[in-house]
Amino acid sequence: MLSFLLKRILYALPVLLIIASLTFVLVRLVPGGPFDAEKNLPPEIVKNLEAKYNLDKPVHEQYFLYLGRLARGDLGVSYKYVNRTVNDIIGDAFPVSLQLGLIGLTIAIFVGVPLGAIAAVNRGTAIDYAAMFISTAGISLPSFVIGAGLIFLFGIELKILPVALWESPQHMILPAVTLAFAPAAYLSRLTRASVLEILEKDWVRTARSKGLSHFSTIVKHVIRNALVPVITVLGPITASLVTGSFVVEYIYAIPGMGRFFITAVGNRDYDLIMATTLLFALLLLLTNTLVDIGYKFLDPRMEVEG
Amino acid sequence: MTQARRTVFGRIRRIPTAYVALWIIAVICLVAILSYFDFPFTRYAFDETTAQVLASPSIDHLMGTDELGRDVLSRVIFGSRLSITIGIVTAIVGFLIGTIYGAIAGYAGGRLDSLMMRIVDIAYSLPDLLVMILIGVLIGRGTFGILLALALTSWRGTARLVRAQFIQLKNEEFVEAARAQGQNHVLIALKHMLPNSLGPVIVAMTFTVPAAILAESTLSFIGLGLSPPACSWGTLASDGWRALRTHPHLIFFPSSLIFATVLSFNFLGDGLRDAIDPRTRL
Repeated sequence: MLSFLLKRILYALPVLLIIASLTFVLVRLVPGGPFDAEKNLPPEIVKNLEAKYNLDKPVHEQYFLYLGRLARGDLGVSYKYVNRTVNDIIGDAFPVSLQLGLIGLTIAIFVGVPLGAIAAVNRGTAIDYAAMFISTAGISLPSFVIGAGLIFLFGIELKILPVALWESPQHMILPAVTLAFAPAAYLSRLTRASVLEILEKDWVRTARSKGLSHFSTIVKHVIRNALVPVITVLGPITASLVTGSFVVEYIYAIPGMGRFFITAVGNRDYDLIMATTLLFALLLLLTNTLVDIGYKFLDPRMEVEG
Repeated sequence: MTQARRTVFGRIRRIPTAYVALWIIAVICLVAILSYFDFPFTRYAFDETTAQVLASPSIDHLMGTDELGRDVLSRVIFGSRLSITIGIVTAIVGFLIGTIYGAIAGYAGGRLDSLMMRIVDIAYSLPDLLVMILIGVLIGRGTFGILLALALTSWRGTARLVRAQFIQLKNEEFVEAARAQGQNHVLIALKHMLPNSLGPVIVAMTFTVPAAILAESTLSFIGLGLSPPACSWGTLASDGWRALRTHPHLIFFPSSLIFATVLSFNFLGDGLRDAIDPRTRL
């Protein structure tokens, strides 16, 4: 296990470096700079600002300066939110998105996986059709429509839940449900397909013919094996949920990471774009490593490459 | 081939959800095409003079009117042109790029294959939104910019799928026979391998259409996609969002159309997948 983790870390470093370099080049290729928005800034002041942030230096020099700072854990400064370092911004916004994302993820797993498993076990019955209709509907609704619907129903008509901001546990219900909708639907479709495939295996018949009850066959043998593809997709799903959804944070006015990413690209806030992209990549690598560890628990025979 | 097509359609007819979905898609597409002709509803789409503003749905205006007195039903029909076009064109362009790319990688194999697949991996690791925003800045946020941005994010899956198919087919006997006859590589790929790998690709394409419609509407909703005077279901829903409290009909109708269309395409995709290859279920 230790050598596995060590290998993963050694593998992650070059991947992060490639992503950092690619993003660095991409954002600078785009026309426009961070100080374009203030139209009436005299050219001398823009020049001074660029000099202060080293933006007047050749790109390759900026690149090495950036990497040097990154290695020391300094994510740079925001050009837009003056007096705030990127470390501050991420430190404020990431915990919010992380909390919302983890609640949403929990809902998605505990609704999606059982729904898919129940549908598969009752294949071809009304239960199956109903579950599949619900989950297909779930992947067909844009999250802003789900959000608007929930706000209208619970916030405006019934007036039982707050519709904006991030203050109390009540404030978390609607955004977390909105966020969980699509992954829950996706997980249930995946679980159903996976369980159906496992149910056809010979060893399931063996377990049944040994006299094991239908219920314990499903719980002890089928579900455990059917979870492998589900665990696989949980890596990327978790990474994208905890780094924040722009739409959900926008419609519920939540001060999370999702909003910063979009506005940062719009503002050419270079360091902030780099930090959000790298954080996503880092989380993706981390969750995929957790997924690989999860495989070992589900099926100890699985050889996971380092 | 005709026989195969007939059986696929025959199987679709026996799957109620897919069959109903096919009809819904046909009707929506037909209305979108008819709207280009002198269709009774489209005349009111930009007519600001006739009606009262922000009327609730009634017999005169089945979906009500917006803040400029324009008939929402007309606007929704008008918006279907852009939304449907974006969905279908994205799927076709993504299909063409992905198929050619994946076919070359799978057929060539070896170093070229691993190089091409690493490029796909890198393309996957960049956040879609970053790509879309950058395209928007470079090309502009018109219909063309959106189409390009969506196509650039939709080809990768197809490329992987076609490559996997080609690697499998490469060792089939009929391909070996064609090669032994000394047939041209391009001809082998086009005539023998491509038709045999199309099934799963067409299924994937059916799922690209709703994904693109969803992506366009979401981008337009958050102000990174199309913006007025362009009129798609996304821009209509975005306008309606601001009036959610007072005039919910403005967001309800365009959202319902997005939902109905995307749901239909997803059901059709499920049905096609079951009809083409009953063994794979996701």
